[in-house]
Amino acid sequence: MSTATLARPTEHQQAPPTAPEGTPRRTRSRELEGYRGIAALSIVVFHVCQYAFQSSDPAKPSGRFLTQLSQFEIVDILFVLSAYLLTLSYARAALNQGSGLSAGVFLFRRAVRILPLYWVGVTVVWAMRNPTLPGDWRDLLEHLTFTQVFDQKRIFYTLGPTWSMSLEIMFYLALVVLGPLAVRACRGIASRRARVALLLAGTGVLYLIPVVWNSTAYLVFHVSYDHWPVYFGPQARFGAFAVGMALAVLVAARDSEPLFRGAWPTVLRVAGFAIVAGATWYDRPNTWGQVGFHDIAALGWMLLMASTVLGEPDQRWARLLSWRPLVLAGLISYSTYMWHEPIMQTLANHGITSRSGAGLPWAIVAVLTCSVIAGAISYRVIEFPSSKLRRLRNSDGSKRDYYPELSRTGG
Amino acid sequence: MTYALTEAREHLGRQARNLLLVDDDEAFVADARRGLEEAGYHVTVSSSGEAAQPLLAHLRPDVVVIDVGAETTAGFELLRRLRSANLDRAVPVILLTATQDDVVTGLSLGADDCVARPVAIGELVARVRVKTERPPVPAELVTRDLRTGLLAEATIVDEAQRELQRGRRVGRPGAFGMVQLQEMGRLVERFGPGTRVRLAEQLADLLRAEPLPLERLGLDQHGRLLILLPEARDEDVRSRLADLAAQIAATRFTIGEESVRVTPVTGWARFTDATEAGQLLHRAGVATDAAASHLDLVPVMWTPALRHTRSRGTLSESRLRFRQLLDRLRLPAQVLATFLLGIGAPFALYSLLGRLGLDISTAAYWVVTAALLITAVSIWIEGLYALDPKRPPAEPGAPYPTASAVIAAYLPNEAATILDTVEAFQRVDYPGELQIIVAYNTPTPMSIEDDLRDIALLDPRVVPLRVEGSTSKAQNVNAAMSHVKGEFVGMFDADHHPDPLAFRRAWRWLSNGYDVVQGHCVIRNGDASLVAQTVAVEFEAIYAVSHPGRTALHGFGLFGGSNGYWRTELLAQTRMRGHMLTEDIDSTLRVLSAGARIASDPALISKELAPTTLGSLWKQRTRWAQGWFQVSRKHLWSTLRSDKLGARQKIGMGFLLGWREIYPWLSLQMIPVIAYKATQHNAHLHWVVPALLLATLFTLTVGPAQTLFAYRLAVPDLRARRRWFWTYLLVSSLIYTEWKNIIARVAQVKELFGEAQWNITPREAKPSHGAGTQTRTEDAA
Repeated sequence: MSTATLARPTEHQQAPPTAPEGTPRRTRSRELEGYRGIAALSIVVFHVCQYAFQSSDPAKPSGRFLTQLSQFEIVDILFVLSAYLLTLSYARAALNQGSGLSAGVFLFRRAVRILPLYWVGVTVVWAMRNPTLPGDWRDLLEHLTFTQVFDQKRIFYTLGPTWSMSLEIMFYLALVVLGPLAVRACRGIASRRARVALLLAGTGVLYLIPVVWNSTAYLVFHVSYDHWPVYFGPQARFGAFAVGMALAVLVAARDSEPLFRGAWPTVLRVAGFAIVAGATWYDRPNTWGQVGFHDIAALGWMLLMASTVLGEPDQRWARLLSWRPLVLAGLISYSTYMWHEPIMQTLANHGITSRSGAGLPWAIVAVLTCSVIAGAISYRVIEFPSSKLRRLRNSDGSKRDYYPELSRTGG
Repeated sequence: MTYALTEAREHLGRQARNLLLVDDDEAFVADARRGLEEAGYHVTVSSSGEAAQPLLAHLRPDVVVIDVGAETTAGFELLRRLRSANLDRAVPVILLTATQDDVVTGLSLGADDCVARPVAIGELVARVRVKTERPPVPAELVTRDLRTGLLAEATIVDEAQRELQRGRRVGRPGAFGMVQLQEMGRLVERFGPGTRVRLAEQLADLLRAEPLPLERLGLDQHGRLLILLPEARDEDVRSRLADLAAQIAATRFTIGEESVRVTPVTGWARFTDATEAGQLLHRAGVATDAAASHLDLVPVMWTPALRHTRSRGTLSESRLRFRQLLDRLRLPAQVLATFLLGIGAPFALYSLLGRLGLDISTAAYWVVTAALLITAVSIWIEGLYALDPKRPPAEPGAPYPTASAVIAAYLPNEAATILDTVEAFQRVDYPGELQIIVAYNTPTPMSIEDDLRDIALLDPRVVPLRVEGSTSKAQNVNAAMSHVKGEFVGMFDADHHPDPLAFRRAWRWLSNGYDVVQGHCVIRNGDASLVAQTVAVEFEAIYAVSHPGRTALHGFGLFGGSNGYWRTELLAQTRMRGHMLTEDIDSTLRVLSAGARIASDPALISKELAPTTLGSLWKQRTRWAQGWFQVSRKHLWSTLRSDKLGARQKIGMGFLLGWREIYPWLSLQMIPVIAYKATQHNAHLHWVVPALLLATLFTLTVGPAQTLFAYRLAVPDLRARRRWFWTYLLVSSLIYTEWKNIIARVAQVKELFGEAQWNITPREAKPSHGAGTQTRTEDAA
């Protein structure tokens, strides 16, 4: 029952893998790809643990540490990352009083990035799990339209982890409304400082909405955590997006100049990890710690990300994140994410892995290996080719002319 | 004098040489004898020419000195006898002369030196010594060419005779090869007779680089290189000659101030095919003549078939009619055979195994489904990659050099379009010099040739070139290579109209690291008929989608035929092979295996004509399909083994040369599976299984997807014809795709049964509706 969106935002995709020396830091693409790789692999491990813990097998894993591990949802870091990258251009436009991307261009780019693999994955897995027609057609319909997150029964059907894609889509829709609004609001403000303050305040409000919603639902209305649409809907999980947006505002305000130097990036990282670890420790069933986990963990993830995007370049941490295998894992992370759940279940159904405590290490290795292989194939066969659809338009969103140099006099 | 005598003695050592001195001046004879004997010569004196003649047979002199001063007639007569007698032709002769006329007469009769009397004995001894140490030898008796160091023809033939006998005696293989330069006659005409020697000198340097063991090299009087290869196996000979040809083709030779490129033609005969060296030489020559009709750098081995030509003229009328009936029935029979093989055989197999209790139809069903899905996925991926075609750098990597366009034309059919075509090339806007070569063949002289010559007079860029004896585009292109001045060559069929900026654009690729770039052929007579219209859209699917998509996906481009641009050096080394039906694809596969870079540029435009009738389209496509099968068989394994290609390129080759050939058969396989299932009483066919429906739907998306990609990526002129694309979708979904599959299957049958009549398919000159349009049947895309 977790999630994440690993489809890279287009702005990031445009950045060269290794920026030439002397150029502005911009998005630190390799390091962010490294984060994405770690997140994707961690989510696979998390789901294998969770799958074992949810088993009715008496020999299923036990113990406090493993129990906490099965609760450790890392998906929020991907929301932070996604929000940061996608908000950056709007934040720059707002602070520099320029104009942001048009909604059409923005949504076109996101659609060609997300939809082909998503629809292929959902359709194929649904067809495999519904041997006769009409099958559970509502499940298919909801997943294809990203509305499964509002269905208590089907939210985790077909491809369970895709609930996060539903949130991602809703974030896009929110951003194409909020982004231009922010740009317009900043136009009338003369002071750059005031514009920064306005944007940060806005993201602060966005962060508080889910905090208030979750706390009220749990503490006032006593809604249990397994009421999925309440705690997995956009209103409950927007906190991570909000902190990612705040991070984008800060980076835009600094004009990509480092804010943290010397030991400060390390301090931020340690603090970020400490917050996430603390939140995880208190993430226990039927407590406020469970419903508040994501909002608190989001702050920790923001600090961690800030240590990179607002920190000095060439730190040891940056080199670690830029390690080629991690970057490659990041590259195929969306595909790995899409296919790991059916792989995990297929391996278990065929007895190749077990859901027992003793079988957990093997299950992790087997599922990780198969998911990475499937992810690599899916990336080459579906994700990368379909990303070429973006080339149908120019960078300004206009229709591409494939024959601009063709002599109009000849032939 | 003392010095000269002493030195002469030292040189002669203990081996005394016979010297015949013919002179009646006793005083001089005495002095001369003394001096010569001191120098180590054994001197025999004769007082007259007549008296000397009987001595020649037993004396066998090493040098003869004749006084022609007093006894002119007899002295000259003796000289004449010496030069006409085989045994003594090579003996050096020094004349002692009294007048200038004696010198002229003596030299013309074959004297090697003339010394005016009176002569000092020391000088005479010195001259004699020179003639015995460095004997002047008649050209035909010199064992090696003095300039090149290559064996003389007679010598190498002698050696060939010895090797042939030795080889036959001990059962060893061996061969005699010949390399002829196709342009030799023209070069001699232009640069003079010394050209042969100058070229031979440079060739000899090339030839000596990596000889086979025991290899000997010679030169005949026509300037052809002779290569004796004792103990060499057929494959060694073939490879040696092919390497040589490639090396020669890649070299620029210098004649005076000029730098020229030549076309080597190589033929060879095996020891086992001849009984004596003369025959071996003759047969190597016959094979070389056969190679000269193709100019494709492929060495031709002599076979008895080179002596014969088949003729139907000898058939009786009834047998001819029967043969014609068989010809007419052949095609329907082949189509039927492919269906029997593709559907009947698998059905029979399922039935047979079913009776034995083994039902493989379900497994076969999934295999076929997977195969169809893989094909569909690959087509989708190709289309998506085509959305982001690689573009050439904005600026050329070097200044615009001289460029050449080679227009290959088959005049009886293409006479109507060729002038238009030449004009289109004259409109090309290219900053450098542009040479426009029209390489054509025609069985009879045509008035259009005069027109071409008139154009050439007015515009020196135009070079009409009649290729005698040519029957293919490959031969025309190969012949044109001798005339190419450009650093790069664009190749075109006779109906091509390149975009005025095409040559600039091609150079932007070639000057930035590419060896070949294939452009986009656009149909310009789509209005002529439904067939032409269908082909017009199909060409967009091929050139704007498949070619660039495949290039981006697999990392290599292909084709290099019409509207293909080559670096001249590479094309000169590669050539086109007339025996290949799609010679351009064959050539690009050969250079790809050798590591060449080939780009595909959909924005590099040339407009051409499509077939307008089903019949001509059938012929064209059968030729293409058979050509593809031919190159697939020839190149699949070699490209997969090439160490110049990466894994991604090899996967691409596997798809292109392997999978694409299997697919027409796979596309039929659902029929026998379903037919077998239907015959089973207890079989339950679940047609509404979601996974099956999904697979079917996905497979069905391929046709519309291809059309959609073609529409989006089509050139503006074609995109404006939206209705054409809808019609294409309908036609291709209903019939055209399967029609092409049938052609592909039939073409494989034709190729496997050795049906090679396509090599010389006559072109039909049937004017269609549009002015200047024409039906073509032979060119490949």
